[in-house]
Amino acid sequence: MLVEFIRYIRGYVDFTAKGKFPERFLNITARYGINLWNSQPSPNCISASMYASDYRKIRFAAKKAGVKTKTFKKHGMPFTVRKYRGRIGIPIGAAAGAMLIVVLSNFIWSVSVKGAENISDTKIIQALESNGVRTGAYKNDIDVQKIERDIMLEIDDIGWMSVNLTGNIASVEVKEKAKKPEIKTSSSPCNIKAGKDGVITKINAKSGNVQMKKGSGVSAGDLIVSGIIETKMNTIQYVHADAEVYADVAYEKNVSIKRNYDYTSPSKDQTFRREGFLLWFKFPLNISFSSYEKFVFSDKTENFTVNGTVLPMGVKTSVQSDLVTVKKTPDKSDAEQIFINDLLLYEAFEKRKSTLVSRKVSIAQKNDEYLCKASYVFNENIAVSEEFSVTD
Amino acid sequence: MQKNAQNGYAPFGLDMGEMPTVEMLGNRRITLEGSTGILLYESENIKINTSKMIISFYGRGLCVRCISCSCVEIEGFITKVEFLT
Repeated sequence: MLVEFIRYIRGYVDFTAKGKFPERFLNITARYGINLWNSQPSPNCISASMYASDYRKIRFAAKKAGVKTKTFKKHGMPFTVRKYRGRIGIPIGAAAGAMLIVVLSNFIWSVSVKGAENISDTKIIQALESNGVRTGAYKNDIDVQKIERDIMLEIDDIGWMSVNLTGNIASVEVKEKAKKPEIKTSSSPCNIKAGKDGVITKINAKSGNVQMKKGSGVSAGDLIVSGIIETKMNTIQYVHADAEVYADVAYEKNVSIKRNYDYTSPSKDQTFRREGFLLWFKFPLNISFSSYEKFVFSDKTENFTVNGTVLPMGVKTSVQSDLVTVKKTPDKSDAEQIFINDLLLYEAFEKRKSTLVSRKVSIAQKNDEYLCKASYVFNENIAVSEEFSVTD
Repeated sequence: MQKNAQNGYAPFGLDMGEMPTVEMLGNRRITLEGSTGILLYESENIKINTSKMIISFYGRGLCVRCISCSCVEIEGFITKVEFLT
């Protein structure tokens, strides 16, 4: 195998030596240290192989032995290179390709994060970037163990992490910390009082003396579960009252919009800017100018992939959209739709822990605006813990 | 230094001088040391000159696998070896 490889690198020729004394030709070449192999005899002729560099030296041997040599096949790299000598681009391209592979294999092509459920990937990637693990970073400069320690100190929610540099890809595995359950350490005596006005629908008392019943109306501050318990021995025991008190609570939400207002939204007039990148090199792919007074923009980065391998090159597209302000005069049905959307957002975000019991919406016009009055009843936990001093 | 046949050298009392060394691997390969040149090279017969004798190998499909100034390696199906002095 090694011999074959050396022969390929040096290049060799198959030749025939014809004449009266081909054996003499063999003897002379052997005497001068010229290697021959695969020699096959035939009447007044020998076919054999030798290094291309030796072939030039055998002229005198051929002359001395009285044979005529003729090559019939050429093998090896020197002949392959000579074949493409006129095409200078091919060796240059091959050399550049080889160099590119050698250079690029020393850099990180992509960074991927696995295992993060509650921590955002962006936060971890930003932390990695600030510690030097980014696309285009020199691999040999990365101290994996130090980076792991630093990031775990930086992001407290990470319980364990591993930065694996596999080839050109930095794959980061993260295990989040298991959150500690809330443990109520306070054992001082307290009462449970109503935090809001409402009608009680359910009381889940874990400790304490329940003072109210289901269906009772309470005002904010009313005692619901007492922390003072009378024992069978007619003595008083102070406890830390704990209870969930669910009650129907009434809310009112007022929303208004003007009958004439300015509405700003992105128009279809957009400017695209494309930028190619290779590791840290960035170069524009198109030239475009925008003269928007107000605009919004969005960026989208796409890496090229080959057989699932993310390459360190791609295209970043920035889109600028012109912001256009138009005057709007909504009619009553438009206003109703806007109000309903507003109220849905209110229910979804501001009252996400409450259960909707009822909702009444009334819309009215007043001067130059629409008024919306929404009356809600939400069922929610109104229990508020209030500690008291035993000496009181 | 004394050499004996058990160690692969000439037996006691024999002066081998410049005798060629012939090593045979079955009847398929022969390595001959002490060659001074090939006298005949055919696929059925190869004659090799040494300082003391001519060694003739007969067979089928014989060929010189490798040759240097004093060593020849022959490959093929060897049927007969002759020593001509």
